[in-house]
Amino acid sequence: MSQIERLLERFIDDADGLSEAELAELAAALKANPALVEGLRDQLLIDELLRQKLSLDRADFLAQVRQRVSDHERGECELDARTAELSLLAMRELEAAPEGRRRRPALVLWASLASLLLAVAAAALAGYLGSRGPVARIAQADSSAVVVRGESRLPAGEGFELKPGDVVESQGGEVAIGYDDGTTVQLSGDSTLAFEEAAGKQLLLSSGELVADIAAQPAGRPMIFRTPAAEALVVGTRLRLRASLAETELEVLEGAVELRRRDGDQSQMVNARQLAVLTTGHLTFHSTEWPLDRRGLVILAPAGVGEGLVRSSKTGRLAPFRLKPRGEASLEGARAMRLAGGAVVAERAGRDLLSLLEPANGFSLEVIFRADGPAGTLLTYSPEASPANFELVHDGDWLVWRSRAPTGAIEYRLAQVAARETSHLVVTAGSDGFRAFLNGRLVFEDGANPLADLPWAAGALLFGNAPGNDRPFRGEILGAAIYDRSLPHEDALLSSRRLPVKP
Amino acid sequence: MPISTQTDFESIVRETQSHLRAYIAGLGVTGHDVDDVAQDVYIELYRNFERIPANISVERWLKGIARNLCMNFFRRTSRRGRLHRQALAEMLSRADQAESLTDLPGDVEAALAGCLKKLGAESRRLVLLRYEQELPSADIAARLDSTAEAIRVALHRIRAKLRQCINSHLAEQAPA
Repeated sequence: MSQIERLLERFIDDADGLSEAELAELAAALKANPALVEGLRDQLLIDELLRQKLSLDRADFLAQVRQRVSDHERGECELDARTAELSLLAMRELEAAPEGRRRRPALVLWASLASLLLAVAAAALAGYLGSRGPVARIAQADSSAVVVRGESRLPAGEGFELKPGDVVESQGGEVAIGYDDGTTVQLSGDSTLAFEEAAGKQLLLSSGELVADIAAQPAGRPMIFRTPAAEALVVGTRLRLRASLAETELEVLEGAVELRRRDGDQSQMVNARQLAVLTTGHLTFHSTEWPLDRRGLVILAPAGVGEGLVRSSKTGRLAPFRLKPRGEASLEGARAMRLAGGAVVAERAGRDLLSLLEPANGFSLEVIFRADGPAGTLLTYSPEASPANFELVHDGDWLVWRSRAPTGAIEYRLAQVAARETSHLVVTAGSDGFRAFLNGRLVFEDGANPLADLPWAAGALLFGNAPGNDRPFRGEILGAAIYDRSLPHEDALLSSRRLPVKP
Repeated sequence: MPISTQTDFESIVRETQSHLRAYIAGLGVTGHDVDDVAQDVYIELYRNFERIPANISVERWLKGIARNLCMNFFRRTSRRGRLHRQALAEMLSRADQAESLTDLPGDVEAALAGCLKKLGAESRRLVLLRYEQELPSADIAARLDSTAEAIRVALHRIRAKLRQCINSHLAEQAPA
């Protein structure tokens, strides 16, 4: 059998198991021989049809689509309700405004004239800009996305040529933008990105979030990303940038980026696996590499933009899975899960968790969180229509652990925690009993291990509120990790000191 | 299937989901990610149900969206070999323009069920270990006192045989 045949079979068997070099070799061989591509495609199709027919956990696809549609509908309704609330609030504020603050007719006339002049000037400028060549192209865009050119709002279709002065609005969808040198910029959520009037690649992200993969730039001409508060100078790297008027967040995935405040001359380098957060007057650095000691790690979330990591029971390696916000929950890039009544769902990780934990001799859950208020479910591992396998609840000032054990349901009040403070909790169970550590200190201990011989059932892992729960958690989960081993006190202490690494 | 003849979103999902998931897997997306991407495609269908041009079949529209979402998926996931995976997906996508199982008329699932019954006992056992019990090749090899490579070769042959059998089955059913 040839090396390429071996690679093909390994790719079909476990595509994630091939090294970068092996994937490159396979891609080159397939490019040279189209018949091999058709053969591979046939194999992948039959492989998938067999999985659909025989694998039990692929059988409920229709139910999953119904759930996604229902989540989508709920999200739209919540958005409409919030918009209506904001409109009402604005109307009330206008009605309540004192007489002196109301607009006078003369002022309105002058403002209208000024707007008209500005519009004429903008149209002239747009006409001038429209005659200039494209700087980038839309590679892919959801139907909601538009390009604002002068006064026109144009659909951002695939292949749309972007010119200096254009503004791309993703409007809740995703937009991928490509440059000729291979640089890509991906917008998501409600993001607004302007192509600035300048030489080279200069972009202004006035709000929203982007992920960029930047090819090596010419010496002395870095690509520049601006936000209302900062600018990032990049010579070739991968990064994620989030901007609002109040905050700029830069996560460097590969390489290094120079970050400058726009209100001063100071600049700082942000290195790979670092997250820099610039708020009014403060620049803080955080490590995105947490936990440092990953022995026995089974699940980690968040671990990337919209992703977590779960250990594959087949290969033993950590592989990405998608985190899905449901209801009033959102992902703050790789930094945190923001919960305001909803949940972030890890379906795939939940499905795999039980098979990963059952053969293990220990169990540990590590969570870093900040609660806005005094109550709510932080985390639930729950099969459908059955009591939760375990849940971690913030009840009053107390953190409470509940789980199903061979002896029945158990409930431990672990420790008191303060709202609006970042807390690091480790719950661990093994042959030496059940313990909890808060911010590195032992706060609860029971000599017996109630989690031996787990009577649990597979289900979904939810960060945040379970459906039907009327006490939602509001706050942030900055990191959650599950291990198939018992964590000793020194590990809990060391890990509690990891975030944030640098004030 | 023009959109004007389709009034029921759920019936479209029911009728197209198997082919669509196979199409996504055929672009190199693996495991549970196939279902995640397919769900994203149906959410797009749900959002744009009234906006699909009448001259485009729903299947073609779904495949177009699926292709874009798959490319997005490879772009977004920061796993190893991202660029090579994207390149493979591009090649596999072009191969789909030739005759593909996902385009064949007829009941592919029923054909597959019939073909599975025709497999010998050893092959059937291997298929069940791999796809029903979801065992990796190394574990199957340990059970059967074989090697992972031998198991992969055997499964490759079984899939090729099933592909031929499905083709013959569908050809027999096709109207003359």
